[in-house]
Amino acid sequence: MSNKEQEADDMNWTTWAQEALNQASGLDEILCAAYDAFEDMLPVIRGHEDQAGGMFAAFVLSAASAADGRDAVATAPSLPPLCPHERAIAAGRPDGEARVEDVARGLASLSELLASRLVDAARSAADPGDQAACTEAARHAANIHALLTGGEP
Amino acid sequence: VTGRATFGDFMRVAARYLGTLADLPPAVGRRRQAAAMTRQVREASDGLLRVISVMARYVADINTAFADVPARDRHLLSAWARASIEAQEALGNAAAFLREGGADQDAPHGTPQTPLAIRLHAVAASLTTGRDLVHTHFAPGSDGVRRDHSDWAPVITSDRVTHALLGELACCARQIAPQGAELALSRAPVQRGTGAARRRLNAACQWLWVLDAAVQAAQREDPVPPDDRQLLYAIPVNARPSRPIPRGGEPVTALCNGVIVAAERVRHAARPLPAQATWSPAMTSTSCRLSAAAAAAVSQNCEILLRSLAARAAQHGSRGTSAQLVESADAAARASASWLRAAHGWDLVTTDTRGYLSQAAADMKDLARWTERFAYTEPAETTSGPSRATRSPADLAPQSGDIPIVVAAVHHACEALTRLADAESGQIEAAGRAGRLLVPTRSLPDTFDIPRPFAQAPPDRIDSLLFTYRDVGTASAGATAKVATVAETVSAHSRILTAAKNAVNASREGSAANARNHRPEPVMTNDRRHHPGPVERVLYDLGVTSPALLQRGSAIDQASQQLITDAAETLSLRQARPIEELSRSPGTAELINHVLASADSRATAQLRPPTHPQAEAEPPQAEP
Repeated sequence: MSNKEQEADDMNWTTWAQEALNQASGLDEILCAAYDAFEDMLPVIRGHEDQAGGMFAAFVLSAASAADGRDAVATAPSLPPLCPHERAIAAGRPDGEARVEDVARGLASLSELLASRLVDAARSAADPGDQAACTEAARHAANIHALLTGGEP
Repeated sequence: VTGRATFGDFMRVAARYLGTLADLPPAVGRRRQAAAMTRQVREASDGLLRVISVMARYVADINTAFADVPARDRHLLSAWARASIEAQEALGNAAAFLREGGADQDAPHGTPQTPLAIRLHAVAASLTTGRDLVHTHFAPGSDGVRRDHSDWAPVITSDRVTHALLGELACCARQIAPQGAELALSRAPVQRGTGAARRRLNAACQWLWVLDAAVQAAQREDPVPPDDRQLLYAIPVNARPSRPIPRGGEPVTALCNGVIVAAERVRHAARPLPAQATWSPAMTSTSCRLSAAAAAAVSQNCEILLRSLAARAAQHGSRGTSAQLVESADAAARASASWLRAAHGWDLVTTDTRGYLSQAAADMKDLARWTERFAYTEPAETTSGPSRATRSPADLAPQSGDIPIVVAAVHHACEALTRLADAESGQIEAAGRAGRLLVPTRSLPDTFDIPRPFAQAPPDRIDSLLFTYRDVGTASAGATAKVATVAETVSAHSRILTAAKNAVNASREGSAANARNHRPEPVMTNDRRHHPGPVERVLYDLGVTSPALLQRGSAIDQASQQLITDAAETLSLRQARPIEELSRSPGTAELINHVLASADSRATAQLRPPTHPQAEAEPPQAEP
């Protein structure tokens, strides 16, 4: 795969994940999309951290937050046992040859949207368990965004 | 660097007070001078008792292991163990003589007014505070038994540090004894009825010389190297240093200090992790993930700093140091890779509590932040990407003399990661046993039908995680060892970390003496001052300043000391007169003092002062 094709694939992945988040309506769908987004971020970050150079710390700390975010969403009582998007998003993951700064930009953008949707979900959720899970997961998503854009989490 | 008080701070204060010779009372009328002398003897006895009491507590701390060894079996003990027991006996006798004369360490006669007493009280206060500082590293356990409460605790109880401590106590004794004895045997007019008090003060001082001689004998057999004394002095108070907050734009020295303090905080926070793993709500996957990720980043930052230093050392023409720095950088890179594998291990493992962050994890994040500011000159932004500017070698160490400062900071960071690896490994093991490690149910094969988001971690995942952490421990220790070698080469102040580790290892192996393949110069002989003997003293009192005459006086004193020692040795027990009779007159007491001050073990064996019937070990003191 050429660099251009790879970049297109990266864009596909982040666009896909963002689209899934944007299209999700209802708490269960948001939770599904959020779980998948966190889950799929992990191999993306892991696949690029070795080449991250000056962004190494931001990448490895982001991975920790992605795993924490995924675990937080998993505790939400309204998360369905199986999410329909799971395998579709996984199929579009970028490999290790994408440019680190592009991957970072895509992840930052995705985590910003993720945080925003999870905050909204926490506000609209009736179950305190869902509220707590969404709030905690939103915090981890915001951490990722801050880390990858040079801010202090 | 961390701003914490050290044991050495208090010993230096004590040494300053001890170093000033006692002033005699100002010349006033004969009757008033006699009253002043009486008061001086009384106050000095109180002050000396106070010093002796705290010294006895130090020795009792050391002696707990062999306090009950009967006298007939002492020859089986090491030279230092014998010295410690003899020191305890000497202090017990000295205290008993002073107590018999009505001396009271609580200064019942009011605030001391006389110069020697003021200094003795100050010395006692410094020694007491120093002991309190040492005791912050221990705490009673649930069974009431004293337990280690810090990583410094095994260093403090190591043979090397206890020997150095005994050496310091002997040094105090050696400096106090002549001053107290000079006062006791002073030719100045005194009031009637003070003879007994002065004899008792002199006897107490003679016992201090006996203590010194016992320690000197051990010192001759198994010398204390200067490094051990430095290690003793470096013992810090067991308290977490304040959190350093980077403001931006710090110079390199401030960044070094920030890294060292942040590393110290990590070491402090990591220690209790294994013991708390079964119940602590802060034992979370969030904490462990953050710690592992931050440690990977810290190791990589250390690698960058070491490579930059290697380039700088090469520019300064230090090829050997440069090569060592490159090796250290490679080891730091391996440590970073192993921490990264540990971080990966947490991707599919979680814990039964979430949302809390341990102090160790928060401190690791700080350490990552400080080392990052040190290694890079611009912030991490997506626009700069992987090619972010690192600190140039010239900026890192403008002068070759700056290299040790940076090496020390990196050494502290690597040491903190090594401690963290050990603590995290113990923590995971305990948490696994307690069933606190979980995995997302979705990460398990479909054959597992668990209606909850998380399930108990299968044993193979726990084992895999533990195996990874053992690898992390090995890699981190390897990096620390490499940086320690550089620290030794460039004489970085962080060498104290290696000295502490070596002291503990030597004690554990029970071969502190054998571990040293050289016989270093004794540290205590340097501070041995010349105290004039009786003849030389008379010459001084006469106002003689001629070096030739003073030298002759000194030679006569030495010859008389030798003669008395030789003669005493030839006498059988039946022929010998009771030793206490020898010290009844000031003239003979002065001669005996001079012989005892020589620290000749033959002299102290034959001419040691009488044992006081009420002499006993210092009663144990309650823990603060």
